[in-house]
Amino acid sequence: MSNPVPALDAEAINTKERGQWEMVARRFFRHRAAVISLVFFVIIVAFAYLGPFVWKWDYKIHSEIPSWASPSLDHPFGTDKAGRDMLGAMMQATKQSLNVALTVAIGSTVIGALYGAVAGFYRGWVDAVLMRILDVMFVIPFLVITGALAGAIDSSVRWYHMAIILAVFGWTSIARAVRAEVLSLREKEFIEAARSAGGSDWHIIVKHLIPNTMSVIIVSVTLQIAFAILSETTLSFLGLGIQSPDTSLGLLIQAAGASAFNSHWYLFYIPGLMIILIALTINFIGDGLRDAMDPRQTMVRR
Amino acid sequence: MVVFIIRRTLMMIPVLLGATILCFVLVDVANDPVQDRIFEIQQSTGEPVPQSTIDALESAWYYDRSVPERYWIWLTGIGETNDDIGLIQGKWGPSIEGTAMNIGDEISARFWITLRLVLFATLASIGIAILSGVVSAVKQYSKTDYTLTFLGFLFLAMPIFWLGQLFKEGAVQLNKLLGTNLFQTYGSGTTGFRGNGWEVFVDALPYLIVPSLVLMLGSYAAISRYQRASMLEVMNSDYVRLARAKGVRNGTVMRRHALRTALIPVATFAPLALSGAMGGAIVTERIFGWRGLGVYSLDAINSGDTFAVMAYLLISGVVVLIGVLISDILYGVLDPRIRYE
Amino acid sequence: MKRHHMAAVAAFACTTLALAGCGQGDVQSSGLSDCLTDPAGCNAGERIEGGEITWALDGSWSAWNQNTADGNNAYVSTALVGMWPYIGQFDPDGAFIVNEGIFAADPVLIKENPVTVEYALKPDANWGDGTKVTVDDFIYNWYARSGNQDLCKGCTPATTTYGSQVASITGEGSKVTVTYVDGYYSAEWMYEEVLSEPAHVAEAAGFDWKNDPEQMKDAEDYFSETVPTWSTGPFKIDQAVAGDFVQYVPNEDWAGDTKVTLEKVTFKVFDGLDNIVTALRNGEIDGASPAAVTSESITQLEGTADVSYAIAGGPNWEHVDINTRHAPLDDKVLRQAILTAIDVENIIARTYAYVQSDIQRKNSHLFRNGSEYFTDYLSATGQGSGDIEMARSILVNAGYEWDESDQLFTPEGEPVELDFRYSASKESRQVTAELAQANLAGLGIDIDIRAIPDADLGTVLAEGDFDLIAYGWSSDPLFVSSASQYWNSESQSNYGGLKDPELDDLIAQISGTLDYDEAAERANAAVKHVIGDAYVLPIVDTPVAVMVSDRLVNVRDNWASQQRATYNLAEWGVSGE
Repeated sequence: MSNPVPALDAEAINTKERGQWEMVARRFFRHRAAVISLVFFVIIVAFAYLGPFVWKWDYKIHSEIPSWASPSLDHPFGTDKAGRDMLGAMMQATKQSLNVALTVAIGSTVIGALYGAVAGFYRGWVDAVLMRILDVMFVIPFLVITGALAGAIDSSVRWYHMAIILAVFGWTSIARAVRAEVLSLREKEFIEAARSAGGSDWHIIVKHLIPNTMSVIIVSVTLQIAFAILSETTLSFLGLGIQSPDTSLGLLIQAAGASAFNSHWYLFYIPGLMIILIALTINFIGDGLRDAMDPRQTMVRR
Repeated sequence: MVVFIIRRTLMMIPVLLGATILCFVLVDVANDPVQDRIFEIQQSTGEPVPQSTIDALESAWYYDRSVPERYWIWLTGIGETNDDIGLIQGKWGPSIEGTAMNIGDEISARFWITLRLVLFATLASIGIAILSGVVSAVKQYSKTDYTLTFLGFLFLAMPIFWLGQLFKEGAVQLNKLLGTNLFQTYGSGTTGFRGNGWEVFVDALPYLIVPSLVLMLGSYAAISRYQRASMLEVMNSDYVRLARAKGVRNGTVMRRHALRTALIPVATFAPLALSGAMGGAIVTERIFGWRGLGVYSLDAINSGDTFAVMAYLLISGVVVLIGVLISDILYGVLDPRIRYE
Repeated sequence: MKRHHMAAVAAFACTTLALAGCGQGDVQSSGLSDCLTDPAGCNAGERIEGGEITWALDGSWSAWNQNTADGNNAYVSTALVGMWPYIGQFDPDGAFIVNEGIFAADPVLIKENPVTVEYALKPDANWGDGTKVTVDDFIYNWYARSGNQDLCKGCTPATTTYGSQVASITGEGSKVTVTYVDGYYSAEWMYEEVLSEPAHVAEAAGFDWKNDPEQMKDAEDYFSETVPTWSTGPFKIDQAVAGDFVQYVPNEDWAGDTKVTLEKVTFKVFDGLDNIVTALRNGEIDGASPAAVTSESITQLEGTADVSYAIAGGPNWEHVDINTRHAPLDDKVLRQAILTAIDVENIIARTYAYVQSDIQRKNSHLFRNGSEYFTDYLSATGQGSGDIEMARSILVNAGYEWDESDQLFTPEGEPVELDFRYSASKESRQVTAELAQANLAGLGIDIDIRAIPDADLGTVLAEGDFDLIAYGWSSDPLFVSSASQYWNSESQSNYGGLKDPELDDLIAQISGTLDYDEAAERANAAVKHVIGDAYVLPIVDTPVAVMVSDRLVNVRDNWASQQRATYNLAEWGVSGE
């Protein structure tokens, strides 16, 4: 008997939403640094995922590759000791690191958004319990828990192991942000309406609450990518992350050792610059998105 | 206020307990230090390890019990056999490194080493960050602002281990270039150095500069962005505009009205930054050979020294929670709009 | 404590190739570059009085008592080399030098049945605190390492091979006599460690160790936790922190004849090779002999003035093991085919040869190439040759088959799929695994490469969680006991679970003689037999480097000592040139 109401309501939201996304896009493209970063990021992604189809060498050791060749036309990024083309190795390492980053971004965002929305929606003891669990996760030092888990894998740690571990422990900030947003949203009229229309809790959370926290979530996703790239490479560097025969940007830097100022400088700088480039572009994109979605918001994340 | 602090302190207990359970299970299940030790001894002596020694190791480390039993005894000390375990009795449990490396002694000695590094780096970074944040905000959209903003983003994007390696190697090259030994790359002071407080400080300086710089740049970026944003917000607020409209000089407005208010968020953020940096120091300690808490935790994780990991977890957990608490209290004290029941 | 067998050092040709041998930026008259031709006398030189040096250790320790399981590793034995009452040292030539600070002469075998050995103490051999070394100190060491609950209740000795074999120790003045139990019969009686801690210090600390086995254990714990201030060596500890550093000053009461010139010696723990090399280049330390070396670090050293280095086979040896407990690897024929298919020379060329260009394949499990007892039984079998044809024919003859995709099947019709494991951070072992994978693909065997987290190697080995595995043994000085440790059916360290009664018999015979040459001959018989079992494939003696500031003289590497380059610490000094 109350069918027409939600239909009307939903339509209203949709129209508003479309307008909103258009505005967001327009504002985003006015943010020069963000747009330039987006272009760079797309190039990096193409480098990692399409590069191997174009470039003649893969990331493996080949006997015909000389060891420790300086950058040249044949090997633009040089070669390492064992006879590995570093351009090929960089493509593979970037791909693995991006794999981790993207999986973590999506995985932790899904977990965090649902968790935060449930906590904010139910409030009361559910919220209290969920928030205490969040506190527990907050107290455990991130490197300790992820390192311990990576150490628990009894064979070579692959990128997907790392991605799962980081996603499982990296969602707490998103959960907090989404919860705060949901706490204010749940009092809004359209939620009241959906509820009185007989919508189930799950329906309300997934169809109404989460879509309306999209701006928070999208910004979180971008931050999550930067966070995942930095944590993954750091863990790999400490020997607690991805292991050979798999590879990652952190492992390449570790393998380069203290060669920053000797003839093998390229082994050290190239993967390092790649990490910086990814994290930098992602941060700028996130900044642009935030400005675009919430023009009032001037507070910047810490 | 006192009630608030007590309540918050009590709430830490279940949170810390939960964290220890989770961590204990993950670290403990993943490792078998007894087997690893036997292998080490065999490698060293080239002879078989007596069964009585193996049994004694198992019982000394409480590895003759199941995981839940081990956690229980770690927490309560009920049923202990060596008078060395039981958190509520103030004992940390045996380290697999042996009795000469008592966990409590190690943790407290290393706490100060880490604190020295972190305090130096965080205070410096907060100072510089406030300065550059204010400059950025006052000269919003100027070249200076863009440069500082870009630098902030750059440092934020820089993996600290890479920066650490770069600076360490840079210090070596600089030493060579200048023909000095101005910078030391490993350790937190001359080995076995004896002297009074001032001499120890002077001795430690060559060891302190580069790692502090590395750690500083990491937290500088975040705080300066924060400071810039809060300064901008205040500058656009009504009362600052009013003060300006009344004809108060620009410099005075900035100093007396804007900056003072804009410092509130950064002040409340400082304890968080400090406690966070305690965790972030792991990488710096590793690269520069500081025998601090972070490296201790890494070694403990690698060798499966569960009780040592637990001790680190508790210390760092308490530090973080106290950081949050102080931050909340400061917020209440500094911002008149907020009162705690 | 580890003793060292008499095998002569391998004669590695020192080349002037960029990455190899005894490199040095400019050619100098003497120094480490002579270590090849004169391993025990290279880098010798005039010392000046005085000097302070810092030596880096690449691993740490956590207890001070080498008798116990907590305190037994190569790093504590190095850190304490300035003061510990070791029986003696093998020099790089393989000659045994008895500890000059304690003993007046080599130990003498005065009776064969039961074995009875007499030790002659120097009249002024002392503990650095005015107290003489006496028979009580011998007895203390015996109790501590006996594993006998009536002598030391609840003690955790790292090994009881010596202590459990002693029947009695008597002595008067400077003569001490150790009588072994009836069953004891070892060609290496001369190298047993007979001293560890001073009995009078235990007594002064209030432990009645002689009469009360529980107090004996407490005394052992006391020595574990207490920084030793006593000394029988050329130096004594001024200050120290377990796992961090040991700082020595000269021991004025030392009874040795070598003149000590250094005023202060610091051993400092460093985390990893890279940090050591960086600190050495930055002048923070004077040298190190780390357990591993990489070609990257050698490149770094090459560009450093005032630092020399030498590379040679070290005390560890690399090998690939097969787990005989896992079907189908219980079939000796399959194992032979697998080891034949692995191309050892190719593996070496792509790993260890980058570090040591003149490195040779290791062909005996017990004796180094060039040892007087070395015999090559391995090459003739084709194992390690990479000869796929030969390996295939071995399998064909035994009824193995291949399907159309060239997958190997056992005669029972099971596909042969194996894993290959190695410690994650060991790059050379990773390459070994990858190359073995490629070799075995030629046999139609699918290899799954699985790295092991660094701390878990011991667990993986003990649980036998591998089909093939690459790892290293510290080259066991005692060939008499090593054969038994590696291959005896009952041995804890027989990780691949080889059960061969004939081999057990051969091994038992090794320890049945007091004659060193005879024992070596019997050990070689065991080596020959185990090669037939196709169980362990030796690769190389792992190359190691000693890296030293040019201002030091008399510092050289010594593979034959667990303390490596520090074996002759008393002779170290600052160059007079």
